[in-house]
Amino acid sequence: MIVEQHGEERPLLRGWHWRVLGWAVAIFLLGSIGYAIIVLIVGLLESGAL
Amino acid sequence: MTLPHKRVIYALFSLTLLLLLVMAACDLLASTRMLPGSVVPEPLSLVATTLRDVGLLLGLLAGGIYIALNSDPRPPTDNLLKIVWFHSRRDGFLRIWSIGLLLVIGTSLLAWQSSLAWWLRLHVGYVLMALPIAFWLMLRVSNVQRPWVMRGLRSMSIMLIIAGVVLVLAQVTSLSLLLIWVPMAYGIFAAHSYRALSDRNPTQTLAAHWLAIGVLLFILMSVLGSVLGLASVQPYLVDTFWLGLQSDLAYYALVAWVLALLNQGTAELRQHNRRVTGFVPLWTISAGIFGGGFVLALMSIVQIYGLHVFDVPAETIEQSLLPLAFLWVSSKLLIAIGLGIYGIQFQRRRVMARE
Repeated sequence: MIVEQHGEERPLLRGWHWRVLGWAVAIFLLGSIGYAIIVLIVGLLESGAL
Repeated sequence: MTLPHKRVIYALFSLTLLLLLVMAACDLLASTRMLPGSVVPEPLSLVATTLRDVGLLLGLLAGGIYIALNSDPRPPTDNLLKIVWFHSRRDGFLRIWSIGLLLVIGTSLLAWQSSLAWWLRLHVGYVLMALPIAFWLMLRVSNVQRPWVMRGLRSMSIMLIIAGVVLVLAQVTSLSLLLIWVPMAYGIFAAHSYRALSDRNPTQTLAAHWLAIGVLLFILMSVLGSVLGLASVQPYLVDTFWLGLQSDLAYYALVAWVLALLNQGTAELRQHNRRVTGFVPLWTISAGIFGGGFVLALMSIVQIYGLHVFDVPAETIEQSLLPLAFLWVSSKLLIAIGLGIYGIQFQRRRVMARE
């Protein structure tokens, strides 16, 4: 049986606060990954391992 | 499930994941303190452990609420708290979950003051909240029947409560042979869950895989915990990472189960029998957890021999740990990257609603 559905599909969670929260967490995570990679490379270079 | 209920539960899932992502980032930053040249302040590790507790608790709360929303019969109310209260007195899963929740609340009030309360929350409170979620997920991903699951949940709850209490008491008193119960209980649980994990239904999500990783981590934790609980071993644990490794293994096992719940719950909310997150985050996070655990164990062995056997000064030991510290930070990096990919996939396959 085909059931006709009205309306358009939208994300269940929407709104500027979810966007801001998502972007803030993404930037913080990427920043921490970048910082850790830099500290790792600097540490390896200083120790003479590379 | 009504649309507002779906929205609340999906918001809880999303907030849990966001908290776990921030926790992974803080944990990664805090781990770089072991490397030369890092300018990360010391309190960040405390922030990371607090975020881990909050994220885990939120995930376990979401699990209980999700089970309540999927339980029959539906009470004549739309109030979420009333629905959870209604089922916590009737449903076998939620009865044990609510006992765990009460224990977590009670021990959290004391955890700031007493380390025993902190360990009790980890080994009994969180486990009692997580176990019903794990067994409920087994119903979703395998062909096992509800009576088998309920029997297993009841018996395993009792066994793991005793194991948790033994682990906590071992911190203050000598239990010697009683400690053998801990790996035995977790071993019985692993053997029990094998039946569900090896007899899969056509569900496509990776919930079973995350559950299996949690079970493996619990087995490792139980073996390590029973050895570290021995009175003859405890003097050697001072100023080493062993107890940190034990708590890390238990926490990551619980986090793996929360990630299983997010997988299964989101797939069901999407009404698509498809994976929400794939194998890349699964293997990346697992490699980070198991690899990091191995590195932490190696560091602890160096500390034991240096500090307690050969009486080497602490500064010299710190220098000798540096090569392992690079591996330790790399493992945290893998966990952060894996959780980041998990987050991207979770967002890409987000739940849509027709309005």
